[in-house]
Amino acid sequence: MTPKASTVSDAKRSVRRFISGQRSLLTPSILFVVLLVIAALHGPHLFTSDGLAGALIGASPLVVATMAITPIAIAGPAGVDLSIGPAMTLINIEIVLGLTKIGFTGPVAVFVFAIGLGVLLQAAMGALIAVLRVSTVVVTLAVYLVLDGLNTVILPHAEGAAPAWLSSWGSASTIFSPVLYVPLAAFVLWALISRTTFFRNIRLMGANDKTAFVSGIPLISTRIGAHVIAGVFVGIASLMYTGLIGSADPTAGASFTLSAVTALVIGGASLGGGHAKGLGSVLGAMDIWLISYVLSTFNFGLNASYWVQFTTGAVLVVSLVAGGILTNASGNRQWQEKWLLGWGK
Amino acid sequence: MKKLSATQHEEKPDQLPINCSRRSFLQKGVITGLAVGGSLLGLLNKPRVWAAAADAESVVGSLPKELQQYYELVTTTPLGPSIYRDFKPKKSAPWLIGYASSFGGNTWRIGARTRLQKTLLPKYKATGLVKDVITTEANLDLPKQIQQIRQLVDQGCDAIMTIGAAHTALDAAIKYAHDHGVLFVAIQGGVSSPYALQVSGNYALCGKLQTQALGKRMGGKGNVLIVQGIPQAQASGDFQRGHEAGLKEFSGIKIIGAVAGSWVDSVAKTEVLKFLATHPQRLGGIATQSPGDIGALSALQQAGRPIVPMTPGGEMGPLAYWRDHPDWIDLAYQGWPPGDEMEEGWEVMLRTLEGQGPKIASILIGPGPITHADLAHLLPPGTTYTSNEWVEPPYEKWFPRKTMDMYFERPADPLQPKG
Repeated sequence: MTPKASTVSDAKRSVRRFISGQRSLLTPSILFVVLLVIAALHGPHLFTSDGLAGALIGASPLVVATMAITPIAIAGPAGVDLSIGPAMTLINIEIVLGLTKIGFTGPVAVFVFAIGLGVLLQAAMGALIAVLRVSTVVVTLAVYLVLDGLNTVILPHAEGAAPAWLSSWGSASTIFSPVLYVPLAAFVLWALISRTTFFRNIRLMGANDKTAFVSGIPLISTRIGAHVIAGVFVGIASLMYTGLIGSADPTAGASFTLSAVTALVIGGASLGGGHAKGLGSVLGAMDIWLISYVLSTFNFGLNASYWVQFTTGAVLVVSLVAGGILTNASGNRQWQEKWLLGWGK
Repeated sequence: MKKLSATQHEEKPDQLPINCSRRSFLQKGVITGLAVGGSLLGLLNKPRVWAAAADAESVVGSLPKELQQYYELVTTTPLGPSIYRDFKPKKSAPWLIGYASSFGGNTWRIGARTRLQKTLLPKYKATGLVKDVITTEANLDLPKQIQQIRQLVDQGCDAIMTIGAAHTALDAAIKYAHDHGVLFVAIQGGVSSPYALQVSGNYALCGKLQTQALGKRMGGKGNVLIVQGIPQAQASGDFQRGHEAGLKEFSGIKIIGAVAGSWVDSVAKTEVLKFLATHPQRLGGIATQSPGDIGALSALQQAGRPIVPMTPGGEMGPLAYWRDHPDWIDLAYQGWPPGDEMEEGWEVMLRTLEGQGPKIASILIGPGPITHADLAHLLPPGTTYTSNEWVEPPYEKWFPRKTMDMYFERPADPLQPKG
C-alpha cells in the first residue's frame, strides 16, 4: 500500500469512527428537525423575536438541568440523579428569600451563591455515593425526599420576588439578553470541561470502574468531581428557573426531575454509565420542550389534557424505540442476519 | 500516580474495605448534615405571614355595601383599583380567547371546561363577540404553563383566562401578556400579579361559614379534624384559614389535627384512616374541603367510628349521603361551583373587553348556602354516595346580574354591548 493510500484509508477510518461515535445523536436530531418543521408549519410565531425569547427562557432551565445530570450519568453505574428538581427548588428559594433578606441581590453574589450551593449539595451526594459505595439512585432518591420536604418546611407557599434583574428574564421579548448569554456560557463551560483529562477519567470510570481502578484512576475523587461539575450546572439551571418564575415556589421545581431524566434518555445517554453527550442532552431537552410547544399549537378542546398526555407519551415511546434500533449496531446486524437466514430458508 | 498494592488489584471495587457500621454512620451523618444545613437555611427564611393585601390602595371601601361583605378574611388578593378600568382591546370583536389551565384531570376542571366549550363558546360565537377559544393544559407543570401563556399571546389572543398553577410564578408571563395588550383574567385562585384581573369565590369566607355551621351542629364543643386540600395551593390555604376562623368562635372546640386530602377522595380516606389509627379520642366533627368529604366519610365507616358532622361543599356524593341522612348536618355551603365559576370569569372578561371598566383588581363573590330542602332539586335522581359530579346553582342565583353590574364603571348586558 502506498503512503498516500494509507493516509486516505486512515482518514476514512477516522470519519467512520466519528460518525459511529455520533450515532446516539441521530434520534434526538431527527426528532428535533421534525418538531421544528411542525412548529414552522403550525406555530410559526416561534421564529419571531418574541417567540424565540420565550423558547429560550422556557427551555433553558430544562436544558441546563439535563446538562447537570449528564456527568453523573456518565460516571454510572445507574447514574440517575433524581434530586435535581428539589435541589433547583432549594436554590430558587434561597436566592429569592435567603439572599434578599441579607441584602445580597447583585448578579455576582447571586451567581456565586447559586453555583456554590449547587456544588455543595452535589459534592455531599457524591461523597456519600463514592465513599460509602451506595447506589446513585438510592442516594439521590433519599436526597430528593429530604429536599422536597425541607423546601415546603422552609416555604409553605409560593411567595417573594426575585431580584429585578433576574425576574426581568421571564418577560424578555428579545433573544439578545441574558436568557441567551447564560446558557451559551454554560455550553462553553461544558465544551471546556468535557475536553479535560479528568472528564475522560469520568467516562472511563463510567464505562468500567474496574478498568479505571486498575488504571490508577482514583475512583472516589473522580466520582465526587463528576458531582461537583454537575453542581455547577445545577446552580446555573436554578438561576434560569428563578428567572423564569420570578419568585420562590416550594413545589413547582420537582417536575424537573422527570423531565430532565427523560431528556437525558432521549438525548442518547446510557444509564448504565460511560456514555452520554452534552449535545445529546441539549437536544433531548429541546425535544421535550418542543413536543410541549407543538402540542400547544393544536386546539384539542374539551379533552386537551388527555390528548396532550397521550401524544407526549406516544412520541417519547416511538423516539426511544427508534433510537434503540438506530443506535444498536450489533443488534441490527444480528437482526439482519436472522432475517436474511429466515428469508433464505 | 498513586501506586496500587497487589491486594488492591484483587479487590472488587464494590468490596473496598469500608466497615459496615462506619458506612452506616457516615451515611446517617451526611443525611443529617444535609437536613441540619437545610434547617439552618430554613431559619434564615423565618416563616412569613402572608402579606396583608388589604393595603392602603384598597378600594373595597368605595364599593357598594352589598359587595363589601364578600371581602371578609381576604389577605392575599390585590384589592387596589383595576388597571383595566379604561382598557381597550387590540382589535374589535370577534375576539380570540386563550384558556391556559394548569391541569384538567379532576371532575371540577371537567365541569368548568364543559361549561366553557359547550355553553359559553357557542352562545358568544353566535353573537359575533368571540371567534374561538384556544385551550391549553399544563398538567401541573409550572414552566409548561408559563410557556403556554406566552404562546397564547404570540398566537394573537385578545384575552387569556387562566387557572394558575402557582400564586407568584406566573407574574412574568402575565406581565408579558399585559405588555402585548392582552387582557389577563385569573379565575379560581389568585395570582399575585398586579396585571391580572382576578375573579373567584371567597374561599376563606366559605370555610368560615362551613365551620360556623359545623360548630353549631356539634353544640359548640368537641374535637375536630381538619382535612386540607393541597396545602401549597392558594385556595386550600384560604379554605383552611376560614375553617380555623370559624372554629375559633367556639371555645369548647379543639382542633386535634390536620391531614392533607389533596382534593382526592381516595387520598383523603387514606390520610384520615392513618389519623384515626393513632388518635383514639372521640371525634366530634371533620372540617373537609371538597373533593374529600366522601373519602373522610368512608374512612370513619371503615374504622368503625361513629359518623360525625362534616362540611360538604358542592360535590354530589356527600350531598346524596345528607339527602338520605337528614340529621348528619344542618347546612352546607357551595364555595366553588365549577361551571358557574367559569362563567363568572368569562363574563368579567367579556365585559372588560367591551370597555365596561371593572372597578377593583379582584372581583369576589360569597358562597351559596344549601339546605336539606334544596337537595330535592339539586340532586338528579339516582345520585349515589360515590357521585363525584358537582351541583350547580343556576348562574343567575350564584352571581346575579345586578351584583355583577355593581363591579363595573359602565355596566351593560355582555351579550348586547353598548356602541
